[in-house]
Amino acid sequence: MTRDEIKWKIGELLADFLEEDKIELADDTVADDVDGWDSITHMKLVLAVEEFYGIRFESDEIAAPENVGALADLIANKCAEK
Amino acid sequence: MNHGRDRSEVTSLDTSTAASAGGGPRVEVAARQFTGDDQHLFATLSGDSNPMHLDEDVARLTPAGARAVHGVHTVLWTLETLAAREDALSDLAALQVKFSNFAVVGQNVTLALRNAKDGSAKIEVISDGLALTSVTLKFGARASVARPSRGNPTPLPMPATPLDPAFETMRDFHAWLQPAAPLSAFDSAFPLLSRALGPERVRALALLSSLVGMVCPGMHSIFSEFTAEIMEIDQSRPGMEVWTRSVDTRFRRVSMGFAGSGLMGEVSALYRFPPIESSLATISTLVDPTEFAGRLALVVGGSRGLGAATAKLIVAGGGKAVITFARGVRQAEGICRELNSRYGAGRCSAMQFEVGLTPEAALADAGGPFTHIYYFATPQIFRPATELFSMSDFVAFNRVYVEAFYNLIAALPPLPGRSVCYPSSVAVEKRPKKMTAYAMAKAAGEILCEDLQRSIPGLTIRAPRLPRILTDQTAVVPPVEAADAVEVMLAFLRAETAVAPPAGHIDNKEGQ
Repeated sequence: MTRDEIKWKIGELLADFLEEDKIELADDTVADDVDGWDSITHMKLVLAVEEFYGIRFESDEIAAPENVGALADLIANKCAEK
Repeated sequence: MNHGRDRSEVTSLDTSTAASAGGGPRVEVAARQFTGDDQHLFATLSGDSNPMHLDEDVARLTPAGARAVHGVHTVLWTLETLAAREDALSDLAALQVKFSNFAVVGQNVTLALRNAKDGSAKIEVISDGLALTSVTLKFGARASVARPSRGNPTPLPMPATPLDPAFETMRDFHAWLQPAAPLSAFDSAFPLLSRALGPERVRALALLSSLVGMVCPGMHSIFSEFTAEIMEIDQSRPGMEVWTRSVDTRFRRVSMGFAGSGLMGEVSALYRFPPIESSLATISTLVDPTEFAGRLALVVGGSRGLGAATAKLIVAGGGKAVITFARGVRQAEGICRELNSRYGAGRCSAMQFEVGLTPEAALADAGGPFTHIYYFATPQIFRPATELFSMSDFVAFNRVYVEAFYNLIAALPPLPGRSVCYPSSVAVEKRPKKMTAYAMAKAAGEILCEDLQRSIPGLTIRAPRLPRILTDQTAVVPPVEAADAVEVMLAFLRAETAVAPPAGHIDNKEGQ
């Protein structure tokens, strides 16, 4: 699974939660850039990512990623640790 | 019954009654306010008498800031409105509901239909363009096989007051929740919907409100979302089986399953923080009993949050405090009772003071001269918004943070050496999204502080840019990191004692 695939998956999940057809995400995309990506949406995204990849974030990891790129890296690292 | 019917008919524009949303995707079809009577009616129907819906004093201390309309009530209003359209719900198979923002008593809300896609229809309860509740209806074949029961659930009659289970115990929750009101009450309250879906299902939907608001998480709950599939109705047993699917302490989230009375599905709820209080027992261990001796403090907005923490610190440290409140008389008197009981009569008193009104009369009876002023008056800070900037929000913030503050300081009898605390915010620098009006008003307040200090001899004003602090206003779920009010204000109070800044100097370093 590549980094781009992870970013694509994040975008797919967000699009589903926000009822959009497609959400394009760049490495430097932050939550404020995406309409509707609030704390509840972020919670649902975290839970969906955990279920999809079979990983679990610690509490301090949930808010830590400063952008989509950092989130994708975190997911990749946690998958590699499995 | 035509199962192949285009669902867009549900969202079709009735030009005789609907207001077009300027060509946009929403079509408004109904509007109302929910009143206090509506709240009590729904509480009786559903059994959900959680005080956040019924008690204004309690509701002030919740994220809603006022009596919150039961989310499920907005759903039933939505469905009742749709049920007026012939056969609109005849082959309803499932619904998906999200509660995005609170509707509060007295707020104007509108029902808006959105374009259907994938054979579904979406209806939103909106206010000022902001979606509060969204209901997605799915049509087609209904599920024919009920999920098998998870055992023999314990019958649970509707509690008279909300339960307050510990978060850890929610994992094992499994019960048969019994309804609060007879079916006839739903035939009467929601006649069209009851005819379309059956009063059993309408009552079952209402029961979801009680599941969350009265049972689990109960007292400190926020209903987040639910999905429900339409099933065959089991006439033999009113109510529904309910069970916990998962508990996530990171997000303070509980997920529950339910089945019965013609519905089955899942509920997601958040376990919000109880009202945030600064423990006097803890404060008394942190403060030297004489370090604030000699202070006579006027704490504006002292009935809760930062103000309450400040008042307790000052009195615990040997000073005296007069705390003001606008509406929180119970909280203010409770703080005074606790402080006077522990530290001696007369150490703390409370007075009603509505910022914005002329302060001279209130100050005349306040018992000064005050050596220290702490200005924590604030309107609701976090406001759901659809736009970057709201002029009405800016006006509301300025009224309190600028105009009322100025009027108070200008009305005070002069006292050389008086110290004033004007809590500014890191939002002035960091500018969180949709807090532009707030940041602007605080920045304006900082400028006002500088000029007041220059113009009033002997007056020192400190305007620290405080970080996000855990208070009732900021205690959101899922939780966001926030500083402790006692820790932040103790540091400030000690800095007031230790540092006498030169004339004309305003301290506004972050967190000081």
